[in-house]
Amino acid sequence: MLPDFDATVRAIADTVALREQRPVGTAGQASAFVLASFAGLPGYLRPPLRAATLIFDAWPVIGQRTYFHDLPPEERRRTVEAWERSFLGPARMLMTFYVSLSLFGLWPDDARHG
Amino acid sequence: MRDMADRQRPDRQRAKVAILGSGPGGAVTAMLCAQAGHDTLLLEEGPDLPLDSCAHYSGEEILSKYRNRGLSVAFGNPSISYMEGCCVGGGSEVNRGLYHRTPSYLLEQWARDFQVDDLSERSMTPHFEACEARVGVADIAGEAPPSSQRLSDGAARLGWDAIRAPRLFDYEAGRKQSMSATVIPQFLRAGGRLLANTRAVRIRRTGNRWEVLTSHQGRPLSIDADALFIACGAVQTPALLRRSGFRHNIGNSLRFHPMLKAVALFDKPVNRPGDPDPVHQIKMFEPRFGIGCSISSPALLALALAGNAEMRAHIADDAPRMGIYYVQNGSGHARVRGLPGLRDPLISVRHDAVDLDSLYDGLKHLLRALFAAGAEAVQPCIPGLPLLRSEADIAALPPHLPRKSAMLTSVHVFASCPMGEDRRLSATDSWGRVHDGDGLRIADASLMCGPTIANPQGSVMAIAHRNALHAMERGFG
Repeated sequence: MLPDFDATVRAIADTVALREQRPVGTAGQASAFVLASFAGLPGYLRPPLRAATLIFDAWPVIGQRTYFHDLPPEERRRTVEAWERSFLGPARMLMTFYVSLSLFGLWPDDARHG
Repeated sequence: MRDMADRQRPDRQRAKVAILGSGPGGAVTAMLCAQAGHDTLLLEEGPDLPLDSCAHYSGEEILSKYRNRGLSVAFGNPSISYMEGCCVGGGSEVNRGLYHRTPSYLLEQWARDFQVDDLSERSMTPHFEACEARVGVADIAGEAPPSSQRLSDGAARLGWDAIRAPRLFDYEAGRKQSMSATVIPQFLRAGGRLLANTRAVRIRRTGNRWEVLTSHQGRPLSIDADALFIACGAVQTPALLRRSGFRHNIGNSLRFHPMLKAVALFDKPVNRPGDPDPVHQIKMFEPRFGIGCSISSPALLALALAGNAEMRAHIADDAPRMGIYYVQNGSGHARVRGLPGLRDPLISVRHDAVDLDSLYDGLKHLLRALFAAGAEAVQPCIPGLPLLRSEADIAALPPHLPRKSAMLTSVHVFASCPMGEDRRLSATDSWGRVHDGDGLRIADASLMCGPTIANPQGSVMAIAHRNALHAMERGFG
């Protein structure tokens, strides 16, 4: 078993969905939006963000011998929140990126504006 | 005969005039050239999608009509996330269509500082009027939506002036007047040709013509034109020019309108289904900062409150009572630089402390206005800042903007290739001709000499109108 980018994005979206209060959308909609958005990132950002995501996925292997995407929901939440509070700016930024996009995807809006 | 053969070959097209980019500047330029009888080809990197192909401000719109699917960043302390349209019509397809003429004091300032010829309010008025007549600018009919009216009420209680901004909008038809709904159909009716999904990779001068090397739906396509206008937007225009060997003051002065936001929770609903978009703005503090209302859909509330869980928890039950508001100014001076082998340029931005202090002061003014408007709670959209329950809580905020956590966003980019006769500062002459560019012209927001602290679309269209007429009068020389 290796770190898995898509599975990590899905697991982060699941985690964000679980701690939100009654979002309209599903975790599946959120992760689909995040993955589609990721594909549009500028070329110089995609590889480092992908690498950082895989490091994030592998991080729990040190203490818990399992990847983030294989953790139970409560452990995933603890990991996400630990990275959100990290003293390392890049770790916080990675979580801001995924949490923001997931939140947007959790509230799909097809209402007409004008 | 040769021209006809060139036109028919799939890997080469010929035009008298080629315009790269179909946003407000490119579309107006293309329309004028086509209507004057010139064989005009308009190229657009993004897709050709109807204005109503997806819901405005939706995820689908971001994925299909925004450059980099809405994920563009200028790196700095703090960084700025900025958005650009990437579709036929450019930014006019995805913005709210708020409309302002360039204030006269700014025209005077630009004319003085950059030595721009013939840029007075008097000389620009016919160009504003012509664009407004073609596109359709209207004041909101009847009452503004409650979220907008609240800002006006709060301003009035503080003795401040709020205005109702006109929009590029047909209120009778309920339809935004974007380029794809107005100017581009006029261009096509005049015989202009539009080629979407075509990205300009490089330009070069060959004899008396310009050659544009492009990628059209993934295939190489070469365009030959006698006259060439670059209107790819304030980031992509300098990136293309620099790739093509033009460097003098190109991409050294990109500017933004960075925003800070706050979400207010009111006692009564301020967002009703079917309400028109908010229009109120507080402009009396410009150019230090300007204040306005944003679209407040649940998705945009969730995004604005990504770093503020307590207020975000209200969305499920109280979204109709919540409104997003912003303050913006002209903080940030950025550079556009290409990276070898990569398609997207790197943008680096630096801020002057005094500009960030002004922006943060503007946020505090906004918070005061929202409490004066009757907000029960207001959340500044900066991670780590507390939920405020009264105006008195504003005093407890940090004295300076927390740079590490500030989330600056901008929907306006401009001024990367400013115009003027002062060659020390400008990239083009007063009419958009690139210095030493053999008649090569720029026709987009890159030409602006600085921030307007309001939607720059009116300025972009009028300057493009002025410069296109000037170019045609001189045979594009």
